[in-house]
Amino acid sequence: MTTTARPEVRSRMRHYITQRLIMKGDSSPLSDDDLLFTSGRLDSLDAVELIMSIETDYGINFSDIGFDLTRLDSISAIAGLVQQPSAEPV
Amino acid sequence: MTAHNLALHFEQVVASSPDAVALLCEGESFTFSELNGSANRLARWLMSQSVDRGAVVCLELPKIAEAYALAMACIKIGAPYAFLDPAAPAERARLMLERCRPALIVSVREGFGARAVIGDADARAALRDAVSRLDDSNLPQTALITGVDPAYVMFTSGSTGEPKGVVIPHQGVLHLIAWAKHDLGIGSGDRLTNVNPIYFDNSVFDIYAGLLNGAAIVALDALKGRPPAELVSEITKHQCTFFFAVPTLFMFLDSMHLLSPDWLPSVSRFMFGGEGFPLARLRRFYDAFAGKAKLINCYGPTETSCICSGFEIVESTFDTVEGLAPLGKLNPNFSYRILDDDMKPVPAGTAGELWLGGPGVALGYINNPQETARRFRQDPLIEGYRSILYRSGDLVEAEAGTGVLRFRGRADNQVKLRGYRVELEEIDHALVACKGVTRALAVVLHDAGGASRLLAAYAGAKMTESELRQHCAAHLPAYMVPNRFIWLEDIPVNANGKADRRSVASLLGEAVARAS
Repeated sequence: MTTTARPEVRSRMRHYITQRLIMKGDSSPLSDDDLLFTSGRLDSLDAVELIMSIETDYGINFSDIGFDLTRLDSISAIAGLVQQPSAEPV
Repeated sequence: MTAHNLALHFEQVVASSPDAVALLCEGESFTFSELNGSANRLARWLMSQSVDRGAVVCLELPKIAEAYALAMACIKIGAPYAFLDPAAPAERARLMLERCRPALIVSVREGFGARAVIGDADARAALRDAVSRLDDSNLPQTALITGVDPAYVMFTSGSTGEPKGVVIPHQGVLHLIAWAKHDLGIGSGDRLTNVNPIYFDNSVFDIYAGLLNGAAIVALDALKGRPPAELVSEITKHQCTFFFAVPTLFMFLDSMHLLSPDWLPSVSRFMFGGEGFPLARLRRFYDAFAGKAKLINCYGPTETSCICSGFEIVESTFDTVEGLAPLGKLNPNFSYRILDDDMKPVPAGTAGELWLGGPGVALGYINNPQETARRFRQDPLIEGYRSILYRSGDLVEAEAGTGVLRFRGRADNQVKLRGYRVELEEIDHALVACKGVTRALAVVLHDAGGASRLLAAYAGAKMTESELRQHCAAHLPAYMVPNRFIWLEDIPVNANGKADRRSVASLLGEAVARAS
């Protein structure tokens, strides 16, 4: 099982995503369940960066989840995905 | 139907289908006759602003109807136009404008130089009012423009730290239009998306392969800030038949479950280019549209009038699952050589640098003879007469028998990020201009799925990431701002004393993993 506590993953992801949104001039509030890509707040450029970041940080191979971005569509969804037993922080 | 310049070709299309829809933009529809009339009036207005044949006009505009009409107006008087990103950092815009030395800048923002600002509804209405009194008939002097007159200037990243303006002649675009008609079957009845940014090379195809083949073009905003499902729905609402974009966008739509015949039933041809499409990701796209739409991979440096080769994806394309989609065979009217470092042809089946020639090749870089001389060279295998080839820097291999080209890497430090061509040296230069930074080197890390991540190493005074990001954002477009900045005691050098990008890439890969 992963040793990363759920709140820490959430907090890291929230920080990371908030930073990207600010860079894009989006400073609206962001809750853990707000949709990131479906809503258009993050786009294809952000997707590439987020995927590589998650792949690097948690050793998740995006091809293993079928290149499915809807599974990374909120902070909660990302936190749930990276804490699956197969995902280990690297 | 033959014409020796783009303007006459456009006027022939207008004459044959004046009432057909040419442009859908900002919720309005314009027929060929209306677009031509606007272009003629704007051409006369440009001339009243001291714009004449050969003078450069900079169009710092978003996708508004005037942008398309002004482009057509410019080609009618033989004044090359340059679309510039209206959101580009002021410093980068200044570099591009200074290179162009424009007779006129039409912009949505204030700034230096002879400039007409149409930044709000009132200003647009005033321009419309001013030109409405002008004659809307075709201009007699259009016939004087030759195939080698410059049609447009397209800026691309430069390794000297400054963007380069590629000058494309009318004849280059005429060949692109003919290829699109014969090889892609584009004609009246088609509707092409113009999702590509108007200041980005891919939009040259959207505009000319569409309008000048009698098809309509649909101006669509890229995804910025709006749900991707909205973009897809808009393409379907407008019944677009041809959708050209960078692989990054298609991969994104695929990841969001929006790339399917259910979402895009009207599209019969998808084309992608500007960067490689990993075959592993292309398979799903191909399967989703098998029997319903064709998929075409295209290739072409900006210097070859947008596109110089195309390849239709078929089942056997996936016999190899690794790597990128093939580039295809070169279009008619391009000649090429694949040469080694000593400028000798490589043996069949081995990779070498692609040099391209023919009427589709650019005239050079605007007001930049040094860079022009560096990249546009006499064919090393021809003596006795002038035969200029563009040195692409792309390493390719030609398949024996078919002539199909495959991409094998770069001979220099150019990379593709989301389809945009980026010379890493331009980022190095921008970082070194930051007070306290003594040396800097940008690198790209790739993952197996084809995603690329831009990082930068720097030496000198330690700074926060946010300081460096702000500095870069003031000098570079958003896609060229590194995602992370990592301080190093010194930048490693190779045996020749030059900064070693490869070992920096490996160091940064480790540093990012450690910091995570």
